[in-house]
Amino acid sequence: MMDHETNDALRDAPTKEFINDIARQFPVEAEIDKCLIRKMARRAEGPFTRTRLGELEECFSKFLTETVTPDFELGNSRWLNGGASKLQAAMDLRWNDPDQGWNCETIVLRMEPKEALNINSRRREFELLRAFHGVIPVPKPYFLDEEGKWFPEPTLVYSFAHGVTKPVLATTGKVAGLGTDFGEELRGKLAPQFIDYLAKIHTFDHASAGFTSMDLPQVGTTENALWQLNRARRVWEEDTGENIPLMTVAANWLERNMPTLDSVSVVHGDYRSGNFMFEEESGTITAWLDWERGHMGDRHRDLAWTTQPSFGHYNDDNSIYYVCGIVPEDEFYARYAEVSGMTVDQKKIDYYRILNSYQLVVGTLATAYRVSRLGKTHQDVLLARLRALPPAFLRNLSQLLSERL
Amino acid sequence: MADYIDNNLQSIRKSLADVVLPSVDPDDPLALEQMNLTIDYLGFLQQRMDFIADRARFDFDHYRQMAELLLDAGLAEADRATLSDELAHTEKLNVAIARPSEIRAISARLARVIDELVGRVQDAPEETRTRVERIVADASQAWIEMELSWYAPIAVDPDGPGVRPLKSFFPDQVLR
Repeated sequence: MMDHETNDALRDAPTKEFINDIARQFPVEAEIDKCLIRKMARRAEGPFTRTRLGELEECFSKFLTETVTPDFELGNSRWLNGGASKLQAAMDLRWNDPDQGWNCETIVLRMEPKEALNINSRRREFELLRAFHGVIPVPKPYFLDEEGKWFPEPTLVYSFAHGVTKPVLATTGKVAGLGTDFGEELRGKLAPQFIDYLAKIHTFDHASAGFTSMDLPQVGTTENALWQLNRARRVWEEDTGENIPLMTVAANWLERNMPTLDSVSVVHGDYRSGNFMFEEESGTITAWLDWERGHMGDRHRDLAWTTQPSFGHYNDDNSIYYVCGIVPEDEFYARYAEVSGMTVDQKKIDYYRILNSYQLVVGTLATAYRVSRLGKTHQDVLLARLRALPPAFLRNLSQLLSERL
Repeated sequence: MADYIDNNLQSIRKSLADVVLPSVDPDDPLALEQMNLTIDYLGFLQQRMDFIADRARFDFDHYRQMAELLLDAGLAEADRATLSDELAHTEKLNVAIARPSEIRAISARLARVIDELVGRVQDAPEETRTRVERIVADASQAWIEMELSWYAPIAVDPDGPGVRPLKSFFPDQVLR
């Protein structure tokens, strides 16, 4: 039997055989497979050093000159924070936009570090933003450097979204969006938009969108659940620094109870407060962000994620639970079903709630450990500190499983 | 001569907070965030330093107890023998005087044996599988509770349900 150090060393510098063994064991969508293989193949390359703002500006200038136009001006570069995954900077770009003519617009550069907390595809994020631009409020996607040809790492460029993610005087946890109390007035304004946009995502005509980065799971089978479960299990195997038998109990249960897909929807993957911007005065949602976990699959995955206890809060006498701090849970489901015309299957929500808890442990325990251990990001301290989150996710996972074993 | 690690950590935190933090570029929110988190984490480390060996022993006991319960779960003979050998291996360690790193290595090895065994019961008869999975799920409760307490100083919900005082998990800490 391999000892703990050997195992850890193998994950720090994986052999081709190790990478391929895990990939064979846990097949996933082609695009995700490509991203995960790339991650593992580059793992031993060394740590990430944060790119300077000036370098990013130079990279972007070169990109624009070579692929768009040499006639532009860039300025006012600054870092953006928020999130635990990608490196983000804003810049003012004056250029001849094919859609709007000469104008000056603030754009966001969203670049991957060497190895992110969430491994996913910039091409997929770009395609989703392009598809939903004009359907629901999203940043306008402009450019994609899919392979990191001009930038140090794969980079997406889109328009800057104005607004806030929580009220200026909000009561909230330390992580944006978790447990935010929006107050009664804002709840009333945000709730219908919050539900309607989710329904629009799930009923979107994906067949005519021309997506090339997402595989279509087969309806009437468990293929979708298997891909999503395999993705989480594979990342656990690639990243973990320890064995936790409870995680294997969860994986066993998830494998035995995979639900059948009744209809394919675009799934946002991280639909919650903290991931949309809004104008505080009017309560109008200005942009839905963070499409990086999007995929084609089961709408119940989003429903289970959005209604997760840690994203919302109870009212003062604990009689009403507000989904994402915005809408009472029963109202959320009722309006969603009415607006989308789609059914809500509580059993499937329960399944995906367990998968979501499993995935949260994978990310905050296994991936955060490996990535911070190897210094792969611009925010390693934040990732190291995520170690405080898995106990609560494990408690949730354990409670959900105990009722079902 | 006394060890001054605790004192020195306090000094480092103070210097970072009083001298370095105000000098960080206010237009670099990422740098500010990393510095604040670093200062916080050093405080967490100060609070936990005295308990590092206790925690290692807690994990060790947790996996040993889980393994002992699993021996009676109706495992396949080969799995039972492997588990039994591994338990015997853990007995060679004098946990009272072993270094935390030594205890962690033995615990990790035992956790791995249990974990692989749990993976294999997916194909075992339902009765065995259910018994094994229930033992693991039940035995994990106390460990999760300890984890909640351990990370409470830097958790999102430090006073959430189930968060007991850390010392309550380490009875040896009571004055002898």
